[in-house]
Amino acid sequence: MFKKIFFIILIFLIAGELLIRIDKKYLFFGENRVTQISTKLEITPEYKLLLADSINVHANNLRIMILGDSYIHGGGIDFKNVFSQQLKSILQKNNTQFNHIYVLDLSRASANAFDNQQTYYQFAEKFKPQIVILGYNYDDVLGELDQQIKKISIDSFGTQRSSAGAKKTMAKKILGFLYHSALLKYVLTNINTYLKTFGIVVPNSEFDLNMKSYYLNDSSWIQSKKIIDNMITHIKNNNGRLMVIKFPEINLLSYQNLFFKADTAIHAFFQQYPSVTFIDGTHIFKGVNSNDYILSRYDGHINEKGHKKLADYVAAVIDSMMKAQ
Amino acid sequence: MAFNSFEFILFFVACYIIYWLMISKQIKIQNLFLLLAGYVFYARTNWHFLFYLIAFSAANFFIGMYMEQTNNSRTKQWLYYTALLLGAGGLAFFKYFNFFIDSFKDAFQLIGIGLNIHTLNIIIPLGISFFTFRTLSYIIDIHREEIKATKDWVIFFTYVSFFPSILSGPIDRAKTLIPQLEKKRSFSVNETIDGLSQILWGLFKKAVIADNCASYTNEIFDHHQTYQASTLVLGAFFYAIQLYADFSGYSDMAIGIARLLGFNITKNFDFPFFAENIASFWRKWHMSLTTWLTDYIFTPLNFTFRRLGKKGLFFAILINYTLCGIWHGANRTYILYGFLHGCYFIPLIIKGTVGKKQNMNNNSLFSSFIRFMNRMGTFILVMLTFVLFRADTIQQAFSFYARLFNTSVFSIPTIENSNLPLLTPVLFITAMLLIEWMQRTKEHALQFNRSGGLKSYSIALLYSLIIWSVILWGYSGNKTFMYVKF
Repeated sequence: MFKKIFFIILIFLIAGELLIRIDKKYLFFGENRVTQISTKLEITPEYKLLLADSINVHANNLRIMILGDSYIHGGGIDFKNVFSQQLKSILQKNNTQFNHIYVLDLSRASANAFDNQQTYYQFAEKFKPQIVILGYNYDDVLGELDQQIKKISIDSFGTQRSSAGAKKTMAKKILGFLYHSALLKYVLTNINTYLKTFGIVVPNSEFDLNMKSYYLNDSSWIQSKKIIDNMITHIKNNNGRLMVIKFPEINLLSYQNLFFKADTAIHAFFQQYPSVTFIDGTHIFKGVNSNDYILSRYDGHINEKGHKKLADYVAAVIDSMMKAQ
Repeated sequence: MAFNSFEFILFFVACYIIYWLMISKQIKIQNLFLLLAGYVFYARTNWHFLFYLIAFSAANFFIGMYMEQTNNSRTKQWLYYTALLLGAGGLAFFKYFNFFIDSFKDAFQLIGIGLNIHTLNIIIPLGISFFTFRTLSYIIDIHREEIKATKDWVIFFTYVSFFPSILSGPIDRAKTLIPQLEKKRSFSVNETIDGLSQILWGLFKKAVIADNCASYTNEIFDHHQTYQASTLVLGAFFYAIQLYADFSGYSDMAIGIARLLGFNITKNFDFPFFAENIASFWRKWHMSLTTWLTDYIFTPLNFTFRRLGKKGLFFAILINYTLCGIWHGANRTYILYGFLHGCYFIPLIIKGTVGKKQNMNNNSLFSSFIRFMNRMGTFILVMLTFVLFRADTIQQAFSFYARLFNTSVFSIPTIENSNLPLLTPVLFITAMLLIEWMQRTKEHALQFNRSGGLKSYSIALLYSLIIWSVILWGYSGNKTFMYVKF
């Protein structure tokens, strides 16, 4: 009886492993799942003008450069409704001061601190932005998390391997299989995502490591800070101003304690620069019903309505900034 | 509260535990509990109509009881017509009032008279067609003296509001369900496993096949003007499968849930896409409605028209299927849908094979070329007629048909939305039909003899693949069942 139950469970697990691998390769039913978003730059009219050298940086115009990843780029949202386009529309509507307002959106999905810096240097000389808006979110620290996770996994397997004694080879094989198991990864990811919506973080999960990289001041965050510092200095030296918008994980708005330590580290870093305007997105959405602004319960990105709310807020900040000048 | 929602799972698990562990020895309390569960389930969709359901049940209960008690045939007749009027009147008001008004206005418009009559903003109570037909069958069967009226109000009210089937059927007859409510139910492991298997198959059909097909049919039907004929054929194919998988999936889940509670309710589908002619198709599609209409509409009509011979049979069938179309809703597309199905019987009436039953035990799909072609022909006919079922208006359906019949039908189908790979649903549909073909003589597709040995591991593999398919590809959006609107 137990043998039969064991084999049935084994069949169930093997079937799951196979189907998950097949699904990963062929992406069945593309429409009904989280679609993979493009990581390319959006070719906007401003981008074309810049390439054609048609933006006069000496004329009376306002030039805003936008950097960041899918949070500010608006993955899953029609581009005409994303933050940059809403901001452009508001600023142009209220404009009495400038001949032209250019909002150059150079954000793209999956960009991290290093990518943002590279993009900035690529276009800064030509565009000479007065304001650089950096959409910052927690996973913008340099991309060493994967390696870190790998290291932890290998370490723990290594400990078990050394204690396995005579069954070393068999244990190695099983642990090796588990490490590469698509089923295990699928199940754990889904459990993590689901628990997170209740404010529970699994220790050493990707999310937990991400938060730790800030408050433990690990190498990823140290390197990120160096890169951002470098960018801040360059912007300042070119008479520009950096505006940092820290994006909230909108689906976890009620669980701010999850972010408290990381937020403290991020705020402390940016607030040491007088030339940086730091906007904490969490405060903008404080007290609202987060369900009105989420794309999905399992995802931290804001929806079109959220982009509009953010654009309204930032436009007001820019307006007062320009008036003060 | 849809069967495929998390809320229903919690609701049902709680009901199941109380039903079998706490009150299993007291049949009256079990029935009362089922009644309360039915009302909670119904109230979760729209609590306002719960009062209508209770009042409607009470009226039919008392009418049924007085019909049974009285010896005066005139009083009996009067009570009978009152009950029919109550049922048909409720349906006519909620489902057809606005349609009648619009049709009346249109008719007068044709002769140049503009009438200033307004339609009403009516919300249709969910499941009204299903519970009305249940009570009508109860009253008609008492009138025909086929059953005796129940004196236990809890049993009757539970029969009307039996939660596994209140929203979308199957339409259980009083003579099937009431005797089961009167008897003690006993827990059976085999019945439980079988019930769970049927729920799983229903969930697979609904979540993996129907909900995913919906993305394709919505894309193709909504933009049919831009697509070539071959894609439209594929759209019609996906819609036929979607409708079948959705409704039969619901029915399988309802039957499985009832089985977990110790009830055997009416079978609603018997692998209809393997039917060799239209008569056979209707014996296998929405069987509880078809048999209801056969018993209470077609048979009396056929008796009335018997002197007309084959013409009489045709009229009876035509009226029966047109009413079947109207039952689905107040729309001309449904009337035409039913009327066309009635017309499809003409060759069978001429050949005299309307009542001939099909042997499903034949082992080969390709047993003879003619049988295979009959199956294909029946499916294509049904599939093309379902376009009317999907369309909002007759004009929309004809616009679809107009684009369907041209030479581009021989081109390779393509779809604009790159997130919708065409091969995927075809693959899953093939797997579903293959399993159903292999199991076509069984009560449902996952009914197996649980013997030991290698076979049990093959079954475990099949179950595993189905469970993982539901987890990985079951559309998790909150999609309701299509037949709930009827």
